[in-house]
Parts: sequence; structure tokens; C-alpha cells
Amino acid sequence: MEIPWEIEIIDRPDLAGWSFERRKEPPGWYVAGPCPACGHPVDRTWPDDVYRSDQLRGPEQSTARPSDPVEIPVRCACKVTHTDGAVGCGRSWQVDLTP
Amino acid sequence: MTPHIVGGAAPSPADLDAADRLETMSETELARIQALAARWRDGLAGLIALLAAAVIIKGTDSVADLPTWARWSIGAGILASLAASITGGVFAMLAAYGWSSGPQRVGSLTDLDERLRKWDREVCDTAAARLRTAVVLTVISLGLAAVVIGLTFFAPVRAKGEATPECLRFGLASAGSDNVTADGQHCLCVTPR
Repeated sequence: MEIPWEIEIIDRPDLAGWSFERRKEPPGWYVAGPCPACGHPVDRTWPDDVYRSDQLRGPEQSTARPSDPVEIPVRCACKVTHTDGAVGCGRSWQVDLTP
Repeated sequence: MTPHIVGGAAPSPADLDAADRLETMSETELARIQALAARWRDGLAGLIALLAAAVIIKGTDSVADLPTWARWSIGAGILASLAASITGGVFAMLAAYGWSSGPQRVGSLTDLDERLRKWDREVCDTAAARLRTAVVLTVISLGLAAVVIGLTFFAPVRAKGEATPECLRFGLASAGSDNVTADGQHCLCVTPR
């Protein structure tokens, strides 16, 4: 039975079964694994850079390097319908990735 | 340290919104660059129309009294400005709509996802570079147009009567006659306007 949809932010979830990979194009991180609440597959991309449309170069660019640890907030966006009109099961959490 | 992934502290709603926004920006960057290029293309088209209208409305009257060097400079400036505008417009259209690549071999499923993402990023990089070129050409075109307009206003006007008079000769003049050329012929001279 599917869990009911509910907004919840999970603190330090168990991310067993999660994996990550370094992508070259566009450069960035890709993390994927089962939602710690509903168990359905979820993924998130975290690009190193992104084009802005209003200004081609921003003055506040990050100085972080790709080898630095990165924290990636993730929302459950599984394809299973937990309630009408909503994406995922409503849970969110954070992935701490140390390359 | 061994690469690893663990569940972190609960993110704030603002962090979650920022991550959602970043992902949306990454997924829509090509569409956003292309939309930007389409707006620049419209601006360039307007600039070309403005230049053409100025040339048609002002006609040649405004330059008729200018010295030859100024007229040639204005003509060259208009041509260069139009060339920059048209080239910039082509670059903006290429940025907005791209160019047919011809069929590309798909190959196997191995790394297909990565190759497709690489293609998308290359298209985005190319579109952004073309847009930058279009913007530079627009600025050049505007600068040339400003120089041309400045010349029509501030170039020195050619002095009246600078033209050589044309003379009709009526044979040898008698002593004491008016209108006599240096070689002693009676004449009537007019200066063309």
C-alpha cells in the first residue's frame, strides 16, 4: 500500500541504495536512489554552472570547486501518484555528497 | 577520503526552492538563451528599418551640399552599418533557431544519455556565443549610424561659387569692352549651381 501524500522534511534520512555520478556535460553531479519515505526512485541533478538569461556573467559566482563536498536538497518527485494533482509523496531531505 | 553519500540535516524550505529553481534553470537554459536571441533579432530588425527609413526620408538632399569626402564617408558608413545590422540579425536568428545539423548517428544506448546532454550543452554554448556576436555587431552598427548622422549635421558645407564658371565666347573684343577673356575675346560667363 502506498503511503499517503504529506509535506515533511526528513532529517538525516537513511540513504541506503543511493548512488552518485560525476557528469561531464553539462558538468555537475547526479544523485539517484529510493525515496527514504515511499521507496520510489528519485533523482536530482546539481550542475556546476548554469546560463542566466538576464546577464551572461553574474558577479556573485561561487568559488566552490567540483571536488568540494556538496549538499543537495532533494524533493520526492517519484512518478507514483500519492495524491491527485501533486508530484511525489511530499517528502524532502538533503543529500550530503563527499566526492 | 572515500567518496560517499549520506543523508544530511533537514534542508530549509528556501534551500529546497533554490534547488528546484537551479534544476529548472539547468533544464531551460537553451530555451531561455534562444528566447533572448529572438528578442535581440527583433531589435536588430527594428534598427535596420530605422536606418532604411532615415535614408529614404532624408534622401540625398541633406548630403548634396557636403564635400565629396563627407558624402563618400556617409555612404560607406551607411553600408557598413547595414552590413553590421544584417550580419548581426543573421547571428541572432542562428542563436534563436539554430541551423540544421543534418542527420546525426545515434549509435548504441551506451552513454546515449550523456551524449544527448552534451549535444544540448553544445547547442547552448553555440547559441550564447552567436548571441554575443549579434550584440557586438548591433553596437558597431549603432556606432556607425551615429557617425553617419553626425556627419550629415556637422560636416563642413561646400562653399557657394566654388564651381568653375562656364563662358560663351563671341570673338575678338573691341577696345574698352567689358567681359573680356585673358586672350582678348568677348564673352558671357555663368556659374552653374
